[in-house]
Amino acid sequence: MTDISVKELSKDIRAAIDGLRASEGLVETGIVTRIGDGVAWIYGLAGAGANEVITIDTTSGGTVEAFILNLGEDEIGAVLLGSDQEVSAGASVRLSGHVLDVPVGPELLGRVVDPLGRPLDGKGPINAKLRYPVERDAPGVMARKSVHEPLMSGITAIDAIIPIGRGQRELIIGDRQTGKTAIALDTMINQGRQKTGVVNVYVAVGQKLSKIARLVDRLKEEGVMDNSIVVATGPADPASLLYLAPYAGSSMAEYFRDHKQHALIIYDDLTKHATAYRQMSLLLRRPPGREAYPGDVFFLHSRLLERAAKLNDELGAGSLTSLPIIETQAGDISAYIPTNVISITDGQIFLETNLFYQGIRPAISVGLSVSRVGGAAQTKAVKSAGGGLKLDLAQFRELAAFMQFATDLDAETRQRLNRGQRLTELLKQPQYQPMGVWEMTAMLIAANNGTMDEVPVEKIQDAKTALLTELWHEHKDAMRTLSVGDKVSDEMTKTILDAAKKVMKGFAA
Amino acid sequence: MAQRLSRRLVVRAVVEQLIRQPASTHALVRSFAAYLIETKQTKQLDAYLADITTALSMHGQATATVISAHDLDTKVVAALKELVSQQSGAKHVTLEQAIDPSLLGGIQLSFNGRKLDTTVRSQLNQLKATSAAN
Repeated sequence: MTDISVKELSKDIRAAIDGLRASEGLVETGIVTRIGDGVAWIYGLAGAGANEVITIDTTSGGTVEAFILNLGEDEIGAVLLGSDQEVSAGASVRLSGHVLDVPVGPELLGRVVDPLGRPLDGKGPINAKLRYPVERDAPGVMARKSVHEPLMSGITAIDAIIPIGRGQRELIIGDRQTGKTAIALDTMINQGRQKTGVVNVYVAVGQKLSKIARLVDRLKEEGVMDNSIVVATGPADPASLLYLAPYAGSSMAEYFRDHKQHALIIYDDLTKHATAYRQMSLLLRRPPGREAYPGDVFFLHSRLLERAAKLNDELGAGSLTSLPIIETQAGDISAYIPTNVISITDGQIFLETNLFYQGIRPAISVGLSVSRVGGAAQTKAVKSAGGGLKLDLAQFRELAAFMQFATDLDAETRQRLNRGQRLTELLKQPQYQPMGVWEMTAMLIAANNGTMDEVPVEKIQDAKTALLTELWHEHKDAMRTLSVGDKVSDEMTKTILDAAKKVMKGFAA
Repeated sequence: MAQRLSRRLVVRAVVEQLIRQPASTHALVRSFAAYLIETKQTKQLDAYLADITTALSMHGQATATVISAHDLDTKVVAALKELVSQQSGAKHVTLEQAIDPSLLGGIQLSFNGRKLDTTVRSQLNQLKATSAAN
């Protein structure tokens, strides 16, 4: 082994320190060679890194930030995070030495921010103590635990048939105006109503600002805003901000996941996100692939949705549940982006225009919707009460075509059609009225045991309301027990059925 | 038509030629100019020259530019040369000087794609940006 002289080493270190001190204030600079459509091409900056933030001088003496996406041999392609109106060719560019990050923490709760964490609600600056990078790695295999706790949406059709678990990624997919955002909003409201403590993060990607404003007002009205964060981007924002919004929102939600809490994030919607990324990629001269999307459009969404997780007990057992939204064209779920996201997520809730206009709202297509992991996380009470629901509805759909020949059908088929019609009616639920566990369970037990079979279809909703009122007034303690979500006892079933028989008598035809 | 190569490769070839055969600079300049015309890159001449300057500094010959509001005295020039020499590792430093009264005071030193800006103008601009942000 060669002798190490500490004296020599100390001399070298001191010389290195002096050298570094002398380079203070010496910044690496480049020059904008071309600019347009929010994309700048830059000469120089040999030490630049991918995704690094750069500062470009504007003609008015100010600066605008951009981040690097293309690292070419001779030039760098960067996407501006602001307007390109005041940036001209020849402008000086400086490296910042850091990647994009956003403020995170409880200080953001109740706020409406842009994807860079800047407040948009006029409530003053956000004094967050921590910042997370926008792009973060998803937790690894050993950091995770299987999804086992329910995330109640408050929508009976979902909680009974397509249950969602904490840490799951469940896609909401459907044409325009089919109630996709309504489902997401109801789920957020339900977290407040049921006091689950789940933090909501709503990411609006290129949504109309009027729609975002309405949503924020509703959240405030329902008292949920204090436990929510809204990351807003509108159609007039640069594509770079639309691209960043889901990642920024995810970082904000991950803070709660990593601090032993539960968070729910809604991406509204990833179709617009893919379109924004396509715009940026084409302007950056990346080779177009299918439908002109770049080759890494799958990775764009898979790395985002992989950040949803249920962490193991050593890491605090926090969770991040994702509800991405995809808008289809004419119900085509086999298009490029919808199939990508369907394959990434742990299930999908498919909304149909036909059902919506038939008055079946939420317009969930039970046949095409699925939850791949939620069954393990479903509340026991709802699971036992709604066990056969999916099968009953599937059989009803198969037989529905014969409904006009009802008189010629055998008694069993007639009974199935009868039950199916009533179940379909029962699962209709107005917006902003999420239901609790006891309400869902009691309603399903009553319907599955045939107590509603004699009630005319048009009176089902009234009968349901009457039953729930009766149960709450007469058996409050029992219903509170039912709310806990444990498996329904025989005694409890008898209580519900007795009440149901009594109430339904008044509605029977 | 000449094949268009990456700027890095062209610069490397030019610098090697300059160092190996300094006597044949005239011929090199002519063929380089012809390449730029043939590949329609004449507008990128500044970028090529900057890259050549950087590449030369790696061979011990650095060129730096200093812009100041007033004439610099010899002590400051020597100190700047020393700084460039330290930072670039080049033994020979050529300092090109220019005067721009609009800088108001201080200096702007550029070499090898790096910049040291201690001008009063940039400090005022920074102050303006900070006060506008607040």
